[in-house]
Formats: sequence, structure tokens, C-alpha cells
Amino acid sequence: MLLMHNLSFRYKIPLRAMALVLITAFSLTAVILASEYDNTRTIIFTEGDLLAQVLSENLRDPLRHDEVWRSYEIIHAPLVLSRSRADLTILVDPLLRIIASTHPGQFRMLTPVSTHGQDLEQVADAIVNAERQWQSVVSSPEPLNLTGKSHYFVVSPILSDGVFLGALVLRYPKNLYWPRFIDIGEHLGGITLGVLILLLPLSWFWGAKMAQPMVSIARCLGQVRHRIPTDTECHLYESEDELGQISSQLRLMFETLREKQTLERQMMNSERLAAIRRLAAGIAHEVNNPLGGMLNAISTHRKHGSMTERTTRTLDMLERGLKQIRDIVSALLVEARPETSYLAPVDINDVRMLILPDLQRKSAHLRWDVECEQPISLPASLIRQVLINLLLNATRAISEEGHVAMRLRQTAGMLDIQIGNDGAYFSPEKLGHLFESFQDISDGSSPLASEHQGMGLWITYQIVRQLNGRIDVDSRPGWTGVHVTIPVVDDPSLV
Amino acid sequence: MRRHFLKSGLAAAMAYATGLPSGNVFAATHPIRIGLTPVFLVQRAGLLNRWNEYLSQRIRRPVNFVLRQSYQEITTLLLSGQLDAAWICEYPYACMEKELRLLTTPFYQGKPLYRVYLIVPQDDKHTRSILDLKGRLFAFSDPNSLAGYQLPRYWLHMLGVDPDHFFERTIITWAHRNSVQAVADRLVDGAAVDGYVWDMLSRFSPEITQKTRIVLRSELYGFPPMVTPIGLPEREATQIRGALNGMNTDPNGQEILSTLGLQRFETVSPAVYGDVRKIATVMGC
Repeated sequence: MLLMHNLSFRYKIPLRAMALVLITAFSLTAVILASEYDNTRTIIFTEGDLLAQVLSENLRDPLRHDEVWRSYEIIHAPLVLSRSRADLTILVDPLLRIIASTHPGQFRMLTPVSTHGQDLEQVADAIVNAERQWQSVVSSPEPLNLTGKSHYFVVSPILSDGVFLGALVLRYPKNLYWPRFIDIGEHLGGITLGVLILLLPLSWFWGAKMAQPMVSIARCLGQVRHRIPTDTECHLYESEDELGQISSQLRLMFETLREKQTLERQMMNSERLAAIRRLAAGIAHEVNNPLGGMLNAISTHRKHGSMTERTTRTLDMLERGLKQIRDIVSALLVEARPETSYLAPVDINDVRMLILPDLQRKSAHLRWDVECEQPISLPASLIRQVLINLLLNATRAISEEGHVAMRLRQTAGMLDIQIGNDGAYFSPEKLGHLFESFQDISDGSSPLASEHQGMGLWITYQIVRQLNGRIDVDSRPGWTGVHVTIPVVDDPSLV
Repeated sequence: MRRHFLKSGLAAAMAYATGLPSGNVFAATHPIRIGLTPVFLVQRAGLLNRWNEYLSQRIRRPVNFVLRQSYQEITTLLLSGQLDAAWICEYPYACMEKELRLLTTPFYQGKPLYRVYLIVPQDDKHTRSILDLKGRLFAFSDPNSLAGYQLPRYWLHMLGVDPDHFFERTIITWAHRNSVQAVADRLVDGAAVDGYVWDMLSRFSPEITQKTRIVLRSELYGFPPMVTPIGLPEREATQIRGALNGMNTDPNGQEILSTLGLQRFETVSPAVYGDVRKIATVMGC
């Protein structure tokens, strides 16, 4: 019972369908058998009445003339012709003694009929009770129909001019309907079996179909403990029925849960970031001091040192690099907004110089397509950061001798940057979460398995957002491209 | 008294004379009417037809077989001149020897004689004589039959017992065959039957005789004879006698005889029926 209780609906439904078929079959069989029982009884009595009346008519003269042999022949005839289902016929005289019977050895002539068992005693009583009534009837009276313990009885009086000459008793075994019952039982059993054989695969299929949404729901709910499954994983049932409603509610619930999870994650990240910021601010503060010293040293060297062209260029580059460090570090300091400068062609050239060593380590091919003649009204350090981050990511993504491309244009108040590579690509799923901070974007197959990179992309995204730009990533097998557009507006704070 | 009983039916029987049509070969001539009592063979219509055909050919006149249920009906028809001949029990013959002429007698097992059997159901292992059947049920075949009525009563009479009160109840079956059946079915506890009929039945329907046991075989009595009324013209009597007595020399006749289990018909001396006559004297007609 417990086994049945714990069984999947996948099996419960077909089993119940079969149980239903069996119950229906049994009920129908019972009804048919009951009606057959009634029919048989009616047929027996109808047949018995007719036979008894015919025999009684023929027995009148032999009885009047005391012709035992003739009477015996008459009651014996239906038996010889196998025309009667009666298993015993007895002819009794008015004293209720047997005159003749179809089993003369057992039901002996002249023995009182009532001495032959309880049923025949009942018959004898019935004859005594009915005798007066029979004699008062003008036409031939109807036979009596009696139901004994194990037999039915049809009793027909034999009258001549209203004088009771005797009675004819036909006995029918009650189990006459058994062969018919067995026959019907076998037939119905066969039909039920056939229906079951037909229904079995049908109900199995039907059960599976019906149970499928429930199974899906159960499986989805089972996964929730570990993680919230996506709609594509769940294959939830769509319909207006109750299961469909449960499914859609479940979908809603999952969505809410996902949002909540994202929120929680964001909150956690924010807290983590706040901690990092505090830490970074501390570090920035500490870094700023030597940085200031180094910049001062460069400035002092320019004023007082001997300057070759080479030294000048090196010091310029050192100064820009140190300024970028200062800008970055000052970005970490919430309270201080550092002075920053226009994006100049030389900044972009610096970027190229900075990533070249990485590219060369991989023997990568770089396509550098930059059209930038004039300084652009955008903070140089932020754009440098964006470019370095994206180019370093591209360099990490490619395999040996891979390709990295960089295209930069200034058009109609927009800075348009496109950076691409033919390295590993992002799955569509990862693509959606690419710019979330500390997102684990590694999937084993991608070499973009770096926490730094996760952070780098997040910073890039933050910078682009800060500059009111947008960033789009298109990643497919063979090519991953990042497209950044930033509006160029006059920023008076830039120097 | 019995003779009176036999003759009383004469007038009533005038209305009975009907018979089996015998075909149209001799349709113009007045047919010979032969009465038959219910021995086992009346149930064999095919045999009767063949016998009829044989006799018609031999007598050169159509023959009508007249069948009746009781010996008395045949005797009545015979005495009223509505039958030209009849195969009757030897007891009515012995009673009415003056009105009837012995035409010919069948030979059974080589003699014009037969025995009477006292039979009981097969499962009755105790009955040794008719006296053991006291207070029991007994079947008679016909009140005018020697074997089926008069002889058992004669035995009881000779044993000093009143045959009318010896049995609890007796029934009349109107045929030896029925008596055998009544015993076999255990409708009755015993019966006296024509031994020839029992023998024939054991040949054709052994399932019936197997259910009976012969307690006693009587001494020999004259076989039921073929008789004619005393008034039948000699020429016709001779024709019929000749036809019957010649059966064993004719292939068709021989075939009929062998079906009947008989050897031949032969005219015997009335003395053959002496013992029957003696019983009739004692028991009355």
C-alpha cells in the first residue's frame, strides 16, 4: 500500500485506469449475471408452466383410469426427447402419494411425496393449501411456482370436472444457470482482457502524458535547493488548466527568485566593493605620496638636468604613465577628483606600446586602424584604461598566432572604438552577465578565465557608463568583437 | 367370468375395424385383415411392411395389418368378424377354442413353445422366487396374457396365496416390452414376461434387459398362435396358412422370420396348448 502511495504518477495513473476498467468490467458482469439469474428463473417457470399444463392435460385420462404405466410414459416422454430441463417429474395422487416419477427407483410409487426431503415437503404443503382454490376455479388453474432450497418447482393440478385427481410436480435444479453463468463469465472475461490489452498501452501513454507536467514541476522544484533552474531547463507545461496555472505561477516564482538572487548578489558585491574601495583609498593615499615625489623628480630633472631628445621622450612617457597612475589612484579616492587631460593621439600610441609586449609573446597579429589627428575632448586616462583593458582581454583570449584588431574613429561627436579577436568566444549565457563585477566568466573552454579580467570588464563598463557611452559585445565562434561608443562633449574640467 | 368379459366388448369393437394400407397392387380385391398384438415387433414398421408385402404376394390379395393396444381389442375384432386372422396370446385362444381355429404356430428355438420369465431389477440380489415379492410393486402386461398375467397369478394360486392381495400394487403395461422397461426403470419390483420377447429385447436393446435379472424361467408353454375365426371360409384360411407356413422356404419370408427370431410357421396340434388350457380352467377366462 505504501509502495502504491509512493509510486510516481507516471505509473499511478495507468494503474488506476486499469483498476477502473476492471471495476467497470466486474460491475457490468455482476449486473448481467444478476439479470441472467432472473431471466433463467423466468424462463424456467415459463417453460415449466407450459410443460406442466400440457402434461397435466394428457395425464387426466390415465389418472382417471388408474393407468400408471401410461402416466409413467407421459411424464417420461419429455425426458426421452430431452425437451425438458426438469431433473425430476413426479405425479402424485390426491393423498399426495407418488404415482409415478421419472426416477422411480428413488421416488418410489405409493410413498408420500413429503418424505422425500425438505423441498418436496414444502411442495406437499403448497399442494394442500392450493387444492381448495384449484377446485373452485372453473377453467384450468395456473400452475404454482415454488422456490425451494436447491430447486425450483412447478406444480400443476390435474382436475376432472372440478375433482382433484392429483398433481404434477416438475423440479428444476437452481444451478441450471451455472453453465450459462460460466459461459457469460468467460465471454466477459475475454472482452475485459481484450479491452485491458488495448487500454494498457493507451493508459500508459495517457498516464505518461498527464504525469509529464507534474514530473517536470517536481524535477524543477527539486533543483531549486541547489540553484534556480532556467525556463529552458524546466520544460514547464503551458496550458490554461490547473497544471498550466501551477506551471506559470512556478515560472513567476522562479523569476522573482532569480531577481531576488541577483539583488542579493549585487548587494553582496556592493558591500565587497565598498570594502575594496576603502582598502583602495588607503592604498591610493599611500601610493600618491611616492607618486608625487616621482613626478616632482621628473619635473626637477627637466629644469635642471641635461636633456637629450631620448631622455625627453622617455621622461614624457614616464610622466604620462605616472599621471595615469595618479588619475587611476585618484579615481579610487572618493573625495579627490584629479585633474585630467584631453585624449591625445600620443595616448593611443602609448596604449599600443604597452600591449605590444603581450602580443609579441603570443606571436599575435595586430591590425591597428586608428584615425586620430587631434586631441579629443575626453578624459585621456579613462579612455586609456578602457583601451588597455579591452586590448589586454583580447590578447589573453587569442591562442598562439591569433589575430587582434583595433579600430578607432571620431565621427559626428562620437568616439567609436571597435576591438576584436579570433580567440575563444563567450556563450550567449555568459554574454548576459559579462559586465557584472566578480562574475566568474570562466567556463573551462575559454581562456578568459581570470578574475582580473572580470574586474577589468566591469571597470570598463563602469567607465563607459560614466561617460554616457555604450558598450556592445558580439561573440560567436571565430570572432568576438567589442564595440564602444562614447559621446564627445566639451568638458571644461579637462586640461 | 373372464369369457363374459372378453365377449362384452364385441359390440363396442364394431367401430374399430381399420388397418394399415398395404399398397395398391390388389386394390380391387377385398383385403385380408390380420390383427397383431403389441409384441416387440410392432415398433418395427419396416419389418411389418416387408411382411405385408410378402403375404400379399403369396396370397395374391392385399393384406392389412391391424394393430391394437390390448389383446382384448384384437380378440373382440376377431370374434366380430372384422379380422380374418390374428396373432394372439395363447390364453385367449385356450379360452375361446370353440370360436377360433388354430391356423399355425411359430417355432421358436426349434419348438412351438416358449418360456415365461420372472424378472426383477438387476440390483435386486435377494429375490429367489415370486414369494419374495410379497407386498411389492408388480407389473402385468395384459389381463389376457398367459405370461404377463395369468401364469404368475396361477403360481401364487397354486402356492396358496391370494394373487389379488399378494402385491402392494400392480400395474398394467399393455406389452411385455413395457413390463421389462418398468422393471429396468425400477418403476416396479418385478414382472412376469414372455421369454421370447425378453430374448428378442436382449438382442435389439440389451441396455434395457441388462438392467433386469431373470429370477425364474418357467416350463414350456405353447407359443402364441396365429388363429382365424371359426367362420372364415376354408379357402382363405388355407391361403393364409399356406403363406405363413411357406415363409421359411422363401428368401424374403426367411429374412422376416430371422428378424423375428423365429424358425418357421407350422400348423401344430391343439394339444400343444393343453397346459394353457389347464391353467385357464383354474384361473377362469
